[in-house]
Amino acid sequence: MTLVMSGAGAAILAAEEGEQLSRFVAQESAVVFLLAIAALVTVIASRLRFPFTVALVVVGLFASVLGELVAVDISAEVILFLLVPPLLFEATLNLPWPKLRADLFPILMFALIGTAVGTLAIGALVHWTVAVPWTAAFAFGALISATDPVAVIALFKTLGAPKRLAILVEGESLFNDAVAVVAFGLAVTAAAGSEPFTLGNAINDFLVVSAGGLGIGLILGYLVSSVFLARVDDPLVETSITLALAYGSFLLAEEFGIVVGRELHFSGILAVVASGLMVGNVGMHNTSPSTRLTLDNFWELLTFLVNSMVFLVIGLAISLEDLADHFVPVVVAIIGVLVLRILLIHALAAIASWAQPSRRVPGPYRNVMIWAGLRGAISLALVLTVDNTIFDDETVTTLQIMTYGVVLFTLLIQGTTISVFMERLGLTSKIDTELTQQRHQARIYMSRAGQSEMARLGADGVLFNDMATSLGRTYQRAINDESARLRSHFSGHPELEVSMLLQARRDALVVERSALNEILFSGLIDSQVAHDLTIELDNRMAALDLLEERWESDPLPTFSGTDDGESDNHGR
Amino acid sequence: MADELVYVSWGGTGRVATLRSAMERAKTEERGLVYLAVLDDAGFADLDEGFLAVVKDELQWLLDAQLELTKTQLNAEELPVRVIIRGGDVAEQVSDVVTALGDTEVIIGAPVPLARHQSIEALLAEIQGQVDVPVSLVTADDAEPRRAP
Repeated sequence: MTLVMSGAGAAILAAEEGEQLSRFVAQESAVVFLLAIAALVTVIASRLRFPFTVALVVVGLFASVLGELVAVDISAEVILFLLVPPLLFEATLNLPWPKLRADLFPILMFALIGTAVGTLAIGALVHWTVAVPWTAAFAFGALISATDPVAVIALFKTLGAPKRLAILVEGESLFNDAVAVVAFGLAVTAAAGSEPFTLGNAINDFLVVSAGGLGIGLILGYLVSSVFLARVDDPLVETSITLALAYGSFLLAEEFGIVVGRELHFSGILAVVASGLMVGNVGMHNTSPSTRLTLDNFWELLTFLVNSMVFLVIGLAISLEDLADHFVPVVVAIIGVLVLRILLIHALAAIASWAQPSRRVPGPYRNVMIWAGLRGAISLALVLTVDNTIFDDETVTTLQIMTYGVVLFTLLIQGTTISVFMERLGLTSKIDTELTQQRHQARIYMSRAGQSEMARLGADGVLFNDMATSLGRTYQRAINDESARLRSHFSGHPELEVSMLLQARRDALVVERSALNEILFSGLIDSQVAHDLTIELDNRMAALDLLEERWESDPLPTFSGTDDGESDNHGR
Repeated sequence: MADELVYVSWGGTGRVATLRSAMERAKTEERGLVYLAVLDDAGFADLDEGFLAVVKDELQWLLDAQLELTKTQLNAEELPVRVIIRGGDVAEQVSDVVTALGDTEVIIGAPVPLARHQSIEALLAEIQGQVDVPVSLVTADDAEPRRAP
């Protein structure tokens, strides 16, 4: 068929295309501008030792005055389909399954029961106090139950927090995102009135959606790990495949209905989590050293870019004026979320500790988990999907502003105070003693350099010999004094000896890996041999991490079978 | 007098000081020291066999390094020391090793993680009930101030 287009039609089409192009250019300009802001903010935040994600939110709050320059499309689809998958994938890529499995029971308790109870309790509170319909209230309860600890996890690393604590916080977040999305979907479906809501249907839907998501993620993750990562030796191709996997598993799960030709969708979040775990724990062991390096660098960069956009977008989406106008609902939501988290974490941790005494969650961990329950991208994305086709305008506005309020409070208040909180709980004391030790060692090292230079200048005749000798002796006195201080510090903290040994062993393993790469690239050994030895080194590194957590950690306190685990010790 | 003391530990940061104390005693009494490290069920039962073997290997490396370091610090370079790593129940493993060694003496390094026992006394009693040699406890407080590194 030949299509003949009139002159007017062509002009309209050309005008539309022109408009689309200018919209695209405007969006691209805004993204570029925001990335430049993010880079600048990150540099400043790093110098001020301030969480960069929180700094980005603050900048985003005030950047909206720049108007068109920063007017990016912040639809729910952009956040959920474009920004969330790589964040989840990267988080799971670095999550060792043995450690996750060891704490899977408490993590699933927090993620499943915590989110379900949280949805109902916050829903009831919001319904009774803010007077929004039941379904809208439950939708809010669900979306606000999704925790997003990105800012906190980065801080954990800086502060040297116990790894088990990071696994608990990150594991809870990964799985409760999925539960929150499913619960939110159920509430919205009930509100739309398309299906009658029953508890049986809800549980059935949850199981189908979760199992489907996990299944798709595991299958795709296994295929990529055992076929592409094991048999292809090209860092660029393998890295591209992992990117396709992150987005592909999410899309396939969410849009599974299109594949099978009927209304059916699974949890995209769980699909990404499962595929990331598979690649991180199976696929990464199948790759060559150069691919691992490329993968690590690529995902680190992508996560930085996406996180920058997410947190700037959160800041841009929030209007301080709107928050002030809805002061009461916002305060109710913040207090409700906080109080409920305190109750839930303590209650569920006590149950988990009772059921699994060897993996009890110590008291200080519970307190940090409460304060580390930040809200972020998932809550924001879900609330942006709510529109006036489901609830009335006032309800939509109230839900959105309450969400913004909780997200902002958790990021600005909890995110900036958690390091102080952890210091008070003694969970960062190890870092302080290590820093003191390093300070003494650095002073000795500096003085030795100065002493050597004096000797060289004296030998070269630049300094009079007696002057060089005197300065050298002065340096020696300083070195002796500093060595005495270092010895005294060691006496008070014998655990430093172990930590130095562990660090030395880690450094040695890193050097062993470099040496292995060198002989591989120089062609002295076969790639299969290098591959096998890389796996061996990876296992040694993992074993060292495990020993640090379980062997070198502080002892568990004496406890009886009825103890709920309230203790100041953070044990294995 | 037994030729070797058996120093038992299953982790915990306090063991640096207690190991030093045990080694000083071995030096004073001119006996060797066996470092029995038990990867107990409470902390390591969830690992698969392959990975557990790697964990034992790494622990051997760490403990060898630590024994060498402590010997240097105590000017006890000639002191015979060796590491035995076992997995499973602590009391059972102690009993097993003591039976194999014969005439010996057991020193428990405290503070120790107590996953299964109500108190350190209960643990000592259980071990004492299974072996026919003296069992004692050495704590961080028993240790002399450490020497220069």
